[in-house]
Amino acid sequence: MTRPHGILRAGFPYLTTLGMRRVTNFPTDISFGEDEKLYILMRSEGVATIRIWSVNDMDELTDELEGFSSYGTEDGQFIWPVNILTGPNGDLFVSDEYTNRITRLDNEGNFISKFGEQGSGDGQFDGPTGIAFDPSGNLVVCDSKNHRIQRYTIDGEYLQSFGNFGSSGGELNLPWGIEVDENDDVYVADWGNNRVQVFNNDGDLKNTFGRTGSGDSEFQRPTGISVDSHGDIYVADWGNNRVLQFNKDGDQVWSFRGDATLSKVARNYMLTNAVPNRLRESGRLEDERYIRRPRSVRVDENFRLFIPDYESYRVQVYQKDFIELDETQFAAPLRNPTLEVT
Amino acid sequence: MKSDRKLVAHLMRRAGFGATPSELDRLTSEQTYDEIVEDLVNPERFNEIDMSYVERYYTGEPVAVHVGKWLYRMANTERPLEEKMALFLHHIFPVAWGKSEHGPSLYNEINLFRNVGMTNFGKILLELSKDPAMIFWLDNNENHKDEINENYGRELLELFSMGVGNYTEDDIKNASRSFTGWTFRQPLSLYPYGHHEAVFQFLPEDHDYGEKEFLGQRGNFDGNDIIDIIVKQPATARFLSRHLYNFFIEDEVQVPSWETIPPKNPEAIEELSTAFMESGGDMKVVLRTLFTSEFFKESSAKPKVKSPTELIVGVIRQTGEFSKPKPGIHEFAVTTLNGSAIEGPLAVMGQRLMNPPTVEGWHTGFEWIDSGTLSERVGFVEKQFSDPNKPGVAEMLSKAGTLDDNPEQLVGRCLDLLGALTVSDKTLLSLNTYAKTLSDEKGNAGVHNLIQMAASSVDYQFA
Repeated sequence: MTRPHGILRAGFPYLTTLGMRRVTNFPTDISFGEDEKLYILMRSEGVATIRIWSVNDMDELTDELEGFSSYGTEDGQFIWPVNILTGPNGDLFVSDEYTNRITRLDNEGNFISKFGEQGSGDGQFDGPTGIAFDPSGNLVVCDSKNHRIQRYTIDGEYLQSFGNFGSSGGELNLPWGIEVDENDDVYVADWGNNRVQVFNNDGDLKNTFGRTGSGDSEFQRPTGISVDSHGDIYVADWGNNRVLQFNKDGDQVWSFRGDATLSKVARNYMLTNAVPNRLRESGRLEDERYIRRPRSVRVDENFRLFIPDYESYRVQVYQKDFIELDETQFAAPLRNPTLEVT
Repeated sequence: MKSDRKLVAHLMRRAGFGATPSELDRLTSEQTYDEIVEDLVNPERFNEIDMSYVERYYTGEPVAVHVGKWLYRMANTERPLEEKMALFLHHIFPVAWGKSEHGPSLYNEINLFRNVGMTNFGKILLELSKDPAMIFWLDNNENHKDEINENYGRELLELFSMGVGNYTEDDIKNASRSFTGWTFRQPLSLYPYGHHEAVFQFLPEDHDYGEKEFLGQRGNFDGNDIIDIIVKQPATARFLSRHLYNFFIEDEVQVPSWETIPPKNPEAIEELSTAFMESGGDMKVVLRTLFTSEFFKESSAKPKVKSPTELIVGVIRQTGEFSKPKPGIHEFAVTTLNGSAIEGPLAVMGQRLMNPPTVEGWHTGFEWIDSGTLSERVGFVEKQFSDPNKPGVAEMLSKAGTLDDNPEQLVGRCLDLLGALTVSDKTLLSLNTYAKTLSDEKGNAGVHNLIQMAASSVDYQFA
């Protein structure tokens, strides 16, 4: 897909909220399946599982929930899973920063394969976190505690590694999230350095943005990262309880702090619970809208932004509203800001 | 050596959770005893633990997860006395998860203790009186100007500051009137989107602004005034000093007996009380007085049974198993979080952190010990030291060296590596006897056994 010359940003309205406590607890990451299906990776201490959910949410809370995988070290189980990705045939790829492996499951949860082992050599991991596919279908992995990025074939054959510990340009400190765009540029959420770094496919630094803080273009432990097909970059800003949106050059254009409303399943649950409804009447209800401790952010092919709202047990969804522009509709970049009236 | 190794080890066990061999090496070679105490009472000289790093790995709603995070902090903090004071305040101002099951209030209360524990006792009591967990635990949310609930007012005087015999029933009533309207705003419910914090709220329309008489003084008192008066009382100084003595120096009888049984060391209580009164309740001054006193330095010879928390945190500091986050630290509280919960060693030993049994807290000292808990304690320590690959155990093995034809020296080195541990003559004889049976062929396995035996001794159960 070719990026448009420019886009008219019409807005980024809130769309909906999915899930609730009991069914989508501690959503760490999500991936997309067919027919509006979502795979929600749920992780907390002692719990690791994948919930199958729908963008259409669920009408009523039921015990007949779809999902698979559990906490453990056997094949197909996870201890500290971080990312989930949908790959060829709808297979799912899950990173686990404790067992130091990448696991491949089919879309019904059956174990297919795994690769990785503890270590700091080629083909080894110390806490793999973010995973992403490159344009060739290889897997790029944040090898977090080794402070580096590694590339593998989809079958786990080692291809490449770059990065080392530090805070200078190109160096990494416990990187968490990763994304690769259609040009094979690699975007890394550099967790410990509170910044994003962009590398080309040889591992050379192309761009860096962000610094420590809570203002514009500032982070408190960036976790997940995604890039849409316009080149816009979305970063989950864990400690600031928000998601920041940057254009392809790394300029912040938007922030998402949360607009949650009651999901369909939550509404129906609350209709049968009188006491919580009374408590909502005297509590500070506004707090309920905000994102809490996001660990991931994902954007689908329809430009819907999915924010797994980790400590609120739900997913908030936004819809990018835009018009693509051609050369006549979008002026050349300005070298300097201007105060001319336009 | 700038300071005495055994004395520093004693200090670090009581003011913190014990020192590793390399920490003892560094402290004793670089600092005098008084300099070490100054560092302990000035925790701001050291970095706070990076909780973003801890919470990157440890997450979850069950209280056991939060107990696990606290254990991790205790084991890895660079501010051991700050963390020990949080535990102390949890002992004397106990609030249990069992009543409310509102997790954030409990975790925030421990944070509160951490933040104020080394400030001023008046500030501690004031923040405690505004703490939603305490307000709910002792029903001050039900203390209205037209319908007083005396629960908090009573315990504030009886258990939290002065002790029985130093106030009247009218003082309780008027203290309670002064705290009317001190409540918290209703937090949102757990469903559908998880817990939200509770926040203190003062409701002026529900506060009794009338004149009150409290401990012989008259005025239109509110909670602030009541606490100001309490902190100026010699009874408060004595009561808190006895708590500190019991927690840091020597096992005393339990609090309900304090009215009738005098302190074991009245001179020490007097010294601490004087420091409290002269400083206006400055906890740093009181703690500095305590740790530099002769009675503290002599207290290593006095029985002080480790609480289950002290025992467990001390062990995991020494084994180094959780020097970085790894799964399973919650298992010290609850062994499974997904399915039927089975209580972990903390609870089996009698201390469910964040869930104390009553408003009196835990009965301490030798009441920690019965045949069941002693067996659990010894078995726990033996098991924790059984893996020679744990970093701390591996360090001990590398430093312990080999037999060298001198079994007694080997025993001495092993005891030193366990925190300059002092053992009874009987234990020492047993260890020496075992060491003499070791041959060089047994190599590390024999030395490892020796370390395990020493750690499994009754002597190790004392702080």
